[in-house]
Amino acid sequence: MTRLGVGIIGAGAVTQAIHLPALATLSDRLRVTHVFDVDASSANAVAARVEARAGTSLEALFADPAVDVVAICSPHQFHADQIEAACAAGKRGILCEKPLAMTVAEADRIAAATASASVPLVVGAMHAWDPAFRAAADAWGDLAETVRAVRSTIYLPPNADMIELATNLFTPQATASVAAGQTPLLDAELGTIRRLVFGLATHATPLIRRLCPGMSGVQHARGLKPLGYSISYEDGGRPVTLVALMGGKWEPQWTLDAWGATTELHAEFPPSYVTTGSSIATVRDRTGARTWRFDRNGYQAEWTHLADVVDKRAELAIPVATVVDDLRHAAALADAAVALRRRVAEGKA
Amino acid sequence: MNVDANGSIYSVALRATGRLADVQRAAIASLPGRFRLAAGAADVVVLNPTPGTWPSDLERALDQGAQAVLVAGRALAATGAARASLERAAAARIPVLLDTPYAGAVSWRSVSATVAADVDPEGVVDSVVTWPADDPDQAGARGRALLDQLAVIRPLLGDSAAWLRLVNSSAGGYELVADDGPVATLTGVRAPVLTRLDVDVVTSRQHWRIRFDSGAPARPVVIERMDSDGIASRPLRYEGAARATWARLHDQLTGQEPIQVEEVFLGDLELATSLFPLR
Repeated sequence: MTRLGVGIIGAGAVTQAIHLPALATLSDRLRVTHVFDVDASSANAVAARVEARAGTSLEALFADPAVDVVAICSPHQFHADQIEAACAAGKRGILCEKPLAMTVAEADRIAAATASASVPLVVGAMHAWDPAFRAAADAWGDLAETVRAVRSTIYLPPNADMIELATNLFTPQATASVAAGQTPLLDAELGTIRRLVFGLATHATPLIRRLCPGMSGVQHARGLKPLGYSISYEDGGRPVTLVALMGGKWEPQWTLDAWGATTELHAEFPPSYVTTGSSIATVRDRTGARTWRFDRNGYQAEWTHLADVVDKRAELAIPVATVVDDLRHAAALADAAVALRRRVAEGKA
Repeated sequence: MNVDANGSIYSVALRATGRLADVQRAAIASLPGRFRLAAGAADVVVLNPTPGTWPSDLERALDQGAQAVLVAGRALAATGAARASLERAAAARIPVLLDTPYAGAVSWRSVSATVAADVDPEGVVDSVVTWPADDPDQAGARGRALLDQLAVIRPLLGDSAAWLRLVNSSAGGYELVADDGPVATLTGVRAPVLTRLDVDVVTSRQHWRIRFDSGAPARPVVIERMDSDGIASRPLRYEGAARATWARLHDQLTGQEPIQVEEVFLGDLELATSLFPLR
């Protein structure tokens, strides 16, 4: 079995702190062969760490025969175009960082492109691939059919704290700072809600949707300072609660809980960036409890799975249609949460 | 007064039944120097927290000459009736306590004011309470769970508790949120296994993580404060809230603690009955 060459689009913090360390643990299956970034110094510095080719030309990366699979770690708004280009270039597989897209239209384009080219696509929502969560899901019995409530809580320290522990972050010197504008408070809060639904809650979305796939209404939405949200919605009368606060100087706490008629689920996820293995996922019923924890995390699992699919050793475990539906769900949730918060803040609700 | 020879052991008539009675039985058994179960007439009467009727049950116990009453849980009832019965008892210097499995724990009571002081208008007060899925009176169990949750959370929120509104309600659960003040989320869920109350009070400076578990009488409350220095845990105290409630009742019977109407509970009851009106 030959090693698959990985071309990485975007040499920022996620690439440096997450994907390079994850790929380093899978060197028998995957090797980074090409790193693209719009900033040449970033591309060169990051590529040098893995002895890969560096470049500022996407066309060159797509034309590089050493690139079998593409990792898209660029800003979200470029994902659809780059996935289409990777498919057109005949690449054998794609890993796209979350969120897959920022609009439903983009997600539909992605689905069409990957389907017509038969290119497997894995979205880097690491909890969807978390080995312990997936093992728990296989064992949770009738939880999905009888679930009464689901809660996701995320209390995380600043990303920078974890990135510092995962890599020596290279940042280009010429990074332009954006002048702080005077954004009205409500607009800032609504922007936070929308951004975090796509950027943070999106980790929980695939998991929650295995239990509560729909959304019949948003009852509550608030943005939190310095960065967070509180959102409550229903799926057919079943409450789904999302609470997150980032930026504090405390231990991370990242959990998912669900209660069914006979079974309870509790999963504790490690923070992003650091390679600390899977979540600790527990399924409990009246006969006792069973807990799973594995040494590999969701990033390692998603890369391994993509390699397996490309090598025809496995079928894609999470179909593109599912991740597109997840994105559709996130977009609807963001729209409804923002609209509700605006109405409440303006006294119209 | 039917008092033991040493003058401090009170007889108890246990009129509660089921799971709540088991909890009280265990607590009484752990205080043999202060209380003793009696088959007939007794100094202290333990009542079931029957939704709607417990105030009249309390009145009846007072009519029958109870020297003290312990209600084995907190249940919904008309606030006016509850207040009248509690005020009558207080005026007669008769201790009445309403047990609650979480707020009554000594380890929580010793730290609750500190936690409350750390609640920030821009922070999070997040809580989940569960009640047993196999309780034959699900509506009653839901009301008790809400009151037990409010007993811990409402003092943390102070005036901000007025912002709480019900956004989800079903036989399987409920959710309260606040649209102003601290971001408060109070979830209640009918749970098949664990009966517990989780509380997280989070600001950018610190995170209080409090885990109550009422699955066994003496399961300790886990109280942790996390900040930039790490995690500081309060000592585990292997004493359930019921035992602490009985100790307080003894203190009130012996004049070591003043007898007062539980105004905090009445406030909880008013809020709870506004959310889940009695039929």
